[in-house]
Amino acid sequence: MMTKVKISRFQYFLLIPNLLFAKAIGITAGVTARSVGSDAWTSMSIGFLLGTAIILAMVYLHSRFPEKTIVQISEEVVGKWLGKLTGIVLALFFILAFGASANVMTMHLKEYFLVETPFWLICFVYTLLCMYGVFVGIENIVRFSLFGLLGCLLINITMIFGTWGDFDLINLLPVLDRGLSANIANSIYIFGDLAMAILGIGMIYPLLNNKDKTFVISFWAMVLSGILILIWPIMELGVIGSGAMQQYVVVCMQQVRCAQLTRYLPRYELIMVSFFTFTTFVQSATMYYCSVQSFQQSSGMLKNRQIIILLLAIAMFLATFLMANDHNNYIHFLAYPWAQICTILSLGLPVVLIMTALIRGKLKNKPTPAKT
Amino acid sequence: MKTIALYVLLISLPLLSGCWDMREINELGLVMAVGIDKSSNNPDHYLVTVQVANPQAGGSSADSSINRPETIWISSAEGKTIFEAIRELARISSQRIMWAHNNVIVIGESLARDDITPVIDFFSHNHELRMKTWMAVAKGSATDFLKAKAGMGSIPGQSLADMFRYQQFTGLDFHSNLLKVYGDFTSDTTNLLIGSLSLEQATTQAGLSKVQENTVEQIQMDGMAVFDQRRMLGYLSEDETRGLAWFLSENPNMVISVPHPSDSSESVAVEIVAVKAKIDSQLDQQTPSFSIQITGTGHIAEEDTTSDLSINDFKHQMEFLAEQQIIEEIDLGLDKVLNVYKSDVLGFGKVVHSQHKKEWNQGLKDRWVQIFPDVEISVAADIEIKSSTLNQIPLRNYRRSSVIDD
Repeated sequence: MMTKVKISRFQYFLLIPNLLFAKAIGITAGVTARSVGSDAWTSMSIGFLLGTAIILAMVYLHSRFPEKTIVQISEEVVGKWLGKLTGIVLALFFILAFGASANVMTMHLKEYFLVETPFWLICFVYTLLCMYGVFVGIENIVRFSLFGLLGCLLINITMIFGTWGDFDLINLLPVLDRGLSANIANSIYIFGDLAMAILGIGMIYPLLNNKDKTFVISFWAMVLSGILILIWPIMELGVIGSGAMQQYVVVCMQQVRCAQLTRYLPRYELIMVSFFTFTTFVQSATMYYCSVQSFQQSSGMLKNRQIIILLLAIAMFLATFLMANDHNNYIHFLAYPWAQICTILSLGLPVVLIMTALIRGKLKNKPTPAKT
Repeated sequence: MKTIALYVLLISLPLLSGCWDMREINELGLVMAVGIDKSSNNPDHYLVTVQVANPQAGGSSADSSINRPETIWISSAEGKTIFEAIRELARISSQRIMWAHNNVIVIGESLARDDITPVIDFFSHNHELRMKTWMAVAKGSATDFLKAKAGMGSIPGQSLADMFRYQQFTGLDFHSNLLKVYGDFTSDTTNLLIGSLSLEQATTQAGLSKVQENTVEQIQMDGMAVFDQRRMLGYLSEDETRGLAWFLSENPNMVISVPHPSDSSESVAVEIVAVKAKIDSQLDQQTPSFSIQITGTGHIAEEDTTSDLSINDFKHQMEFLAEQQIIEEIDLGLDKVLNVYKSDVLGFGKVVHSQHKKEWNQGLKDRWVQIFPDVEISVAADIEIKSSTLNQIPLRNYRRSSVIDD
């Protein structure tokens, strides 16, 4: 590893929900609802089950190569040049993942709070903030996961209490209306979020200071993430209905627009967005970090990290701005081809590496986990 | 590198001041209610009327009423679109119009009968507006309603919102908000029901002197407006509305007056609480039918005559009479919706979809508009009267001597 930064298992546990939450609760739910209507929650649940299995497969792969990132594992398993190509692909993936994540925040600000502020400026400032996070290091970013998770809990609690009175169960029925196969096929949209966690773990796992029981920790982190995230499409469908969900880009914002805690607290979108800020920052900044790491490891430019961070900031800014300058383009991009790219990469890469490693006999000996 | 980072942060400081979206509160005109009509001059134009709160009117009571400004400022403007009309308002308003505190959207009858899509489209687009903003159809011009008195408050928009909030105790009216209306508007099958308002002449008296008594037009809630997908078809009366409130209201708490079992010329008031409605659908050769089951708990609230029935007999008879009355009320509302308006405003299509998804997706959905008016609906009620609310014996039976004799 290039740095001696280490994160604890508790921080790792907290990081996983933060890598999944921000985009999934509103934007992914809306994209899924546009495809399967009231089945959005079942389709996302199926995707979550598949994603949990893939995350556990990724942890299994890392248990065989505990001190290597997925880029380094690729180089070892499929060869140097294919490994480097994987690294470049992942670096590009993380740039676009940053854009997809950053636009969760920029769209909230642009469409609901800072409607007159130029979009490029919001993108610029947010990229700058994340760049600063990467400058000071992943350990500091990951420390925000605690605040991020607390924020997720608070936003969920305030959302549930504020909208419970308008919840109508019939909006969620019938279960699996479009059929199981349609639900499975459309579960790819949640892979836009799962891929950030699966491939993010692929870059961050070696930083763990203790790699015992990571399988169990990852499983429970996914259970917690599932509860935190899936409550949103359930509540969104129950309160605003699938028809209305299909109309909005930032569905979670529409949901909090409906929340009302007694007549004395009739709206609190800004409070809820403030709860949401930390988790979005952790997600975006981690994608930024992973892109820098992938680029460095595949290019071999290990000494000019800060220059790479600065250069990638331009790419991050452009990705964010161009992706969502027109919000319809953003939604179309997330539905196609982003969901498909994420599904192929996050499902395909761990499976291909495990299969190849198995064939080449690189999974036989389990290394002793290093403790620091 | 730290120096570069420092410079970058310093350069970005002016960009973070938030001036672009700065809005000083004293420059804002807070809309309390808005009315949308079709313009009488040009039917293709919209007439938007806003009721804006004037905070300067909230001065001390020592100010003379002559010098004190009005609590609200009402103004109208026309435009080819609602947004254009609102922009026109800016030409006559000294303050910037802000929608975040709007309480009510009132839609004029002529616009409602034409097409309410632009109203729903504009206000659901508007990021400032709350989705829980009340919506109503005015029996007449919305502008007249914005100029009329509502309730006891000094700001009619706020008073109107309070009237919506507390109407649940009568069951005679229906409160609808933008969230519910938008949900139904984007639904595959359910059509819109929006509460309606009418103007009544009311006598008000300032202070204790009858000399100052005068008559003003006051807003009152008055049943519901029934829509097909986007056009208003007509109104439901208070009685018809009440019939539907048994299973439409979120928290129905209804009072019914039933004939006394011993003397049908007298009435007994029964308060029905904890009302629950269950709708089931059955399919017989692709023809759906529905059964509505109402359950609730009753309390005798008022008994206007003497009775020689035991408490248990009285309760059982009251339960039967209350159930019959509830069924009659529901039938009255359903009859109008099914046979006159033929519009599924009650979500029966959703019930069939949720309970028979296979048949629904295999063609029932496409034929629903034609099928719905002919569906059979059976209604049953099960009311349990649990107490006679404080009194053990009717007050008219009460004689001091009899109590002492007992």
